[in-house]
Amino acid sequence: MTALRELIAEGRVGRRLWFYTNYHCNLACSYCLTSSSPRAPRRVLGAERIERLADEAVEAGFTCFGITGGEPLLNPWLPELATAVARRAPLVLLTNGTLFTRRLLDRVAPFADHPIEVQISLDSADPAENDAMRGPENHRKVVEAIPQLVARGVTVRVATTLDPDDASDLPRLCELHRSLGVDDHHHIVRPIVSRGRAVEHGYGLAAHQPELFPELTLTADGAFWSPFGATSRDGKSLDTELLLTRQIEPLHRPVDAFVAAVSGLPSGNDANLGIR
Amino acid sequence: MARVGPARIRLVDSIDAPILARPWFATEGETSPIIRALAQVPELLPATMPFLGAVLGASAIDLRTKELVILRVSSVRGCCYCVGAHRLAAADAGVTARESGALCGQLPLEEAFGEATVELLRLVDETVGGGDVPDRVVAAVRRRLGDHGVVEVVLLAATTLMLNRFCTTLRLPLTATSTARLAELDAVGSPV
Ligand code: SF4
Repeated sequence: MTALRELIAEGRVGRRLWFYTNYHCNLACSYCLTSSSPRAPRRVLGAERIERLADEAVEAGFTCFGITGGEPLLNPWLPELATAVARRAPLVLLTNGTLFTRRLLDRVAPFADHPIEVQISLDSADPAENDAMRGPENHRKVVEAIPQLVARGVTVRVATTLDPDDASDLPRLCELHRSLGVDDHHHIVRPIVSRGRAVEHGYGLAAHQPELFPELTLTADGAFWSPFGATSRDGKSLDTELLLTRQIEPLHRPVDAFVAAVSGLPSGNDANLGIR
Repeated sequence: MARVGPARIRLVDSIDAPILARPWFATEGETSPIIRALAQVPELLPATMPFLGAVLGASAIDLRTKELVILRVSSVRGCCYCVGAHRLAAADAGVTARESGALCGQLPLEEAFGEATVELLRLVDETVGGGDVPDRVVAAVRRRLGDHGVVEVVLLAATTLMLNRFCTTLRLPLTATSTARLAELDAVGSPV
């Protein structure tokens, strides 16, 4: 897997390996890439498998991890898995931030002792505007959860997904995240990407292989070019154009395909939309 | 023969072709349904396609002989897809309509072919029929084509059988182009 190390060193592929733990979600956001919802097929990548793959990933040269879904925290084993993964390399855990009961807050408190960043989606300072995209009560739950996490010493990132033509609400949103204890370094803003449910609603920027920075992504359905590639149209039929292999274990199989796919591209062909 | 199409799985369209499957998708015209099916598991293509090319394509055995074998197996095992596709490929390789008809059981093999070809086709029939293959059937072909010839013919017959079952079970449909060409071929006259 030397080729992978070289590509990472040259900055031609991401050093992060992404896992989609599952595809179902307690929400059903209008722009969801994966068409996730409570009824979406779960397609769970189990904890043991993720740990095995994380071991192989460190061997292969990946230096950090990402966990996303669906909503990863719907998996009861997720907090322990996250700390286990972060013992190998730094982890960013994406969550919608709506499931933080007192009990779950206590279970994630150990994140404070590990290189884990919890990335929570918040799209607007205005509850009505935020909830129009992400569902009722979303704003309230997120705004309550973030300071509780921060109080426990957990590093929180706020991720804002925006219509690229309308960023007028951003200054207010930045004030809000600062007031919740999240500094500007930990706020990322990215455009809505036109995949999954966003297509049905006519939102977002088209994102195909040339626009998407290569970051190997593992799901129960196979390995993909980018976390933005592991999408599905109606919650059922998988988008396959960014599929690398169906086999994800042992890791060298998808890694070899990933390297071949990257090597087949003219270098410099990774202009992206700022959606790494 | 089993009825044709629609396919029982989603055949991958060129717009959805996975990154490493793209080299096998036609830039113009229709992509083979076999490739569109295999593209569901993209890592199978770089392994399967060179294999199929080596076994089914030009080799030490001439292409016409190979097409006789492929069409015979496909007809004996009742694969609509492979019979259709290889009636065309056989015609392109110089197999006559009468020979095609004989391979498909419309007249005795002896009425369309000489002794050497009939012996070859007996080996093919035995290979894909199941059970042990009689010594004399193998020996007859071995005398004419040598050990390497037997190896190629048996592998070709067995590989064709594999493809027959793949295409029949998944109920792969012929491309529109092949269907139109077959209609033209049939309009010229009955194979017999
Ligand atoms: S965008 Fe995230 S929170 Fe919203 S439905 Fe999709 S997976 Fe769930």
